[in-house]
Amino acid sequence: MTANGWFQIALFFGVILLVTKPVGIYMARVFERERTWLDPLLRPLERLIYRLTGVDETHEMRWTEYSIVMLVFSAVTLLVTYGIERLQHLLPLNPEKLAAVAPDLAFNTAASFTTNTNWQNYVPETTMSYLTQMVTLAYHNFFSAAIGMAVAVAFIRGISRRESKTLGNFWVDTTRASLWVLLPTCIVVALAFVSQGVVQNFRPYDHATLVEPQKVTTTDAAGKTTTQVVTTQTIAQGPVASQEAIKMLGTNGGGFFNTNSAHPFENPTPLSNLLQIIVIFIIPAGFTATLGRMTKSPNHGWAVFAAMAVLWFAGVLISYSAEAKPNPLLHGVDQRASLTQSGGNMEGKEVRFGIANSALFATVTTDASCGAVNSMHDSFMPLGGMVPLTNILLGEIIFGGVGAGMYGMLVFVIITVFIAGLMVGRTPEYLGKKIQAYDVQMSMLYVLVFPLIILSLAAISLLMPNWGLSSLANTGPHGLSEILYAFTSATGNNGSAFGGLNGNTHWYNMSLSAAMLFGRFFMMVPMLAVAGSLATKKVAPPSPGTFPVNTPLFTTLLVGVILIVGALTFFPALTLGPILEHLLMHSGRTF
Amino acid sequence: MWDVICIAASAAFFVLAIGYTLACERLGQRKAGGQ
Repeated sequence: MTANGWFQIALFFGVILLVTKPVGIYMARVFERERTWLDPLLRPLERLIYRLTGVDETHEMRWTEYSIVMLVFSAVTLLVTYGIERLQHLLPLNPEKLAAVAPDLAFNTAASFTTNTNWQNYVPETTMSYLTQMVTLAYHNFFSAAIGMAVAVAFIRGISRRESKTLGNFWVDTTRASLWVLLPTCIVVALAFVSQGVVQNFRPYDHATLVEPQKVTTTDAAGKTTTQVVTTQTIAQGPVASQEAIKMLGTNGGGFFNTNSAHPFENPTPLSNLLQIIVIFIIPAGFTATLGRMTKSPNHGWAVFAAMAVLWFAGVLISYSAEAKPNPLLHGVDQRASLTQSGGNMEGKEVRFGIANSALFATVTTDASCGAVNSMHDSFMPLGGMVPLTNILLGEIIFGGVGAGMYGMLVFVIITVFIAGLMVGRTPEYLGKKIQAYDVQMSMLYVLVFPLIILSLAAISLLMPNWGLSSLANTGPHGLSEILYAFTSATGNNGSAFGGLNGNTHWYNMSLSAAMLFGRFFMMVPMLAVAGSLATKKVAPPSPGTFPVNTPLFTTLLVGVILIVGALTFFPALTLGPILEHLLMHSGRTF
Repeated sequence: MWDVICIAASAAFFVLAIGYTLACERLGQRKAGGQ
């Protein structure tokens, strides 16, 4: 580890700390329909949208209506996405004349982008037309993020409202999230990316003649080897910057190019790299201040922020220290950090980003539900690779996805308050509201759905050699980690790939689609049920027995509950994967 | 064939999710009713 590396990590966190309050207060004003400086421009547009779509913006929805409208909207957009992918060869903006996407892959991609996962079982630049990328995938990048924000705001309203049967209006919340927050920020961020060299065009792909022709040897399925001399290189183009902005801001993560943020057209410079990870955390961090403002308890917002920050720092520390150490299996290789090299484990990392920025990016993208990558997680050291996996397994509540991180964390807050209440033998209260059996049941349903999907589908894959193991590149604990990571990433709606697993098979396309859909919606529904239940309750005044949720003690207990729930659920799987691989590596074995 | 499977799977999932929503609501009503 180097001082330069730590300086860059501290710079990143300093910026997040600075923007949290203003962003959070701005979002609270947007969702509370208070006046903002963008109103003169956006309010007439918003009214026009409601008039054209027949939305009554004064209509308030109960949690069930909010949930069902969200589900129906998601169903329709998923099917439209599927249809466009299947028909893209007949549609415009396809200068490379790319064929229709295969049905199971189209379904996987539609489910992936509808659920804010952006798991990609395809090479974008050779599979998706410009129209498909812009009209369906970039569209979902906006609206899946807006839905996450809307649901988080509905949850916060459930906490802040008193004796109310309603949580707001789904259409209004998603519209305001898109118009007031996502769209204007994306315009600024996309221009910043363009200034750094991210491409933005509709040109056909460039074809360059190689200075030095390359011999490429391939082996087909029958084992026949063919060697050919390659003299040209295809350089993909496209409207990248605009998609890149919402990819990071909406914690979507789906790259325009296959190598995602390691591609020089997606992430050209150290400054664009810093900007990308800042943009991932802006809204999730801001939501802690939104929570504080809307519940009129700013210190509670900061206490939640502190819990997230502690877990983020632990992840960066473990990942950075694991990757900065030399690989013990490489003998006779200089792996020390110096003026001319980053040192440590540079396999699968961009030289221009080095160890610190790769470890930081991997931690941030999996703390949030982003899933963009600037390095190959599969090539991390076993403990370094365990950090992104663990971040997702904890539920992506370390700042988390836009909205999704906040409501996931609030479920853990309710469980923490419940446990604190049990410790002192009092009915648990959260900001004056009694936490009762139904609230805890729904919270536990939220917590249990997640491991049930991951562990059952991973176990089925491991038991089926023809379906689950046939497309796996590695054996032993590393192979187990690759399968476990795939289902964890899908269920957690993260979308990053560990690598080493070809997911474009019938089994993985369909099973990962199921993981993404159940992981998104079967967790949102019980969370909205908790919000609906909390909204109906009276607020009791604080008493000497009330557990304060704005103190360091609360933050400590919250971190403890998150780690204990995560460890109890997933430690056996982690033991068989990255932990076993780490121990075997030190005895000289690799996989 | 695969198109039919994918579209049917999507529709079935969202019908199931709406049923899940209603089941969660029903559980809440039973709790509120003291059953």
